[in-house]
Amino acid sequence: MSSSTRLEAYRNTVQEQVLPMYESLGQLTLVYLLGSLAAGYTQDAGTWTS
Amino acid sequence: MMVWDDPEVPTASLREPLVARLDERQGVSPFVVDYRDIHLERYVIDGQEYNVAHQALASFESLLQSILDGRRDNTERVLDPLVATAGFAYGELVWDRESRGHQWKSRLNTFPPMVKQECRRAVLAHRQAYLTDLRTLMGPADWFKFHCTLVEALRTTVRALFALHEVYYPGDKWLRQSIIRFGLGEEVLTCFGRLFEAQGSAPERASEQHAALLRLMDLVEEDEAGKAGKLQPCQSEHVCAKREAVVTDFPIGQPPYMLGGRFVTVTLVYHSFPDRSARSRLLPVLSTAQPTAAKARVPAAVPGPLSLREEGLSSLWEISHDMLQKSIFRRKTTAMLAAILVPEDASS
Repeated sequence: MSSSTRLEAYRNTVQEQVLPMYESLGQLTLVYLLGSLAAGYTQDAGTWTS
Repeated sequence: MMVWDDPEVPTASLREPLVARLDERQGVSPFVVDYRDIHLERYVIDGQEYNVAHQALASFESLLQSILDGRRDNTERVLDPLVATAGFAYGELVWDRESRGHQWKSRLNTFPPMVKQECRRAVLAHRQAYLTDLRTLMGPADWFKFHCTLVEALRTTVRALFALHEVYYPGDKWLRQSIIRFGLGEEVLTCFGRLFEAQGSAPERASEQHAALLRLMDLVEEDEAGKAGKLQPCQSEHVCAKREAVVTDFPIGQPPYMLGGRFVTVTLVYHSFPDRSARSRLLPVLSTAQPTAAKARVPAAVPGPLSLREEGLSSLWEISHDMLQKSIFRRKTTAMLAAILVPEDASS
């Protein structure tokens, strides 16, 4: 699975499963993905995939 | 990261039941943390671990604004504002009510010159102390303290290198990948590797690490352009191929001098090759002009640069560096440049 496909999968999970659960807690204004998954870093120390 | 348009983020006690429902792991206590400005939880969905952090909008915007302004605000934080900014700037928006996220990303597109200057200044201010401390600690083989100091010095230096490349420091994790991703260059990558792959006895490894750190600090110090100019990204792999296109990037003009009956003008151009060291980025561009009666009185008009001889580039570094450092254009330098650069049949 390419990095962008993986990212899309995480995005869908957050949008469809996670965010609806938090809606009752307050006024969400901004949500973003960051970190190694969003950046496309892999365990292979010499590579970076976009 | 979730940003809430509320005075405070939802408390851990409110988030904990959600975490328990979202986490597919059975029999695991919900991982939920509230500590000062850190609000975090962790759960696994479809085998993937998610770490979710929270910030209040006011705090989030204050943090970003402090980076844009290049000054510390008076807020005490655990979060490192520069790293938090990187997380947002290079992150992927999922939810952006009222387009605030896009607006902030747009503002952050212009890297704050003050951040560049401050990060570089931090290296220059502490450079000698770090290097001396490391040398001192090598004597009694105080390796734990040696490595503590080494990491602190390295972090300060690498932050500056990222800033000089107009990249918000992405944090300590995955740093090697970030050096590659953001194009800090082969020399930075090599030195970074030397720090962790040094071989030999403990003193030998320490000497190698000291040398690698010193070189990284040199790269920061040499980056004169970082003090004032914006480094323009350039994808060129060949110095000469794009030379004309970058002449206006960061020219440091020198007054024209007479040499062999011609006016000679050298302009130093800072060329931001992502895959080259700072040392190899300074490109002297030589221009000559035949003196006419008018030019002899007012030698202001300088024609376009002549073609460079590639083989002379390595020698030119020392010359251009000298000129940059001391702002002196010497006759000897002029003669050397001319010998290297000016073809016999060059026309004005």
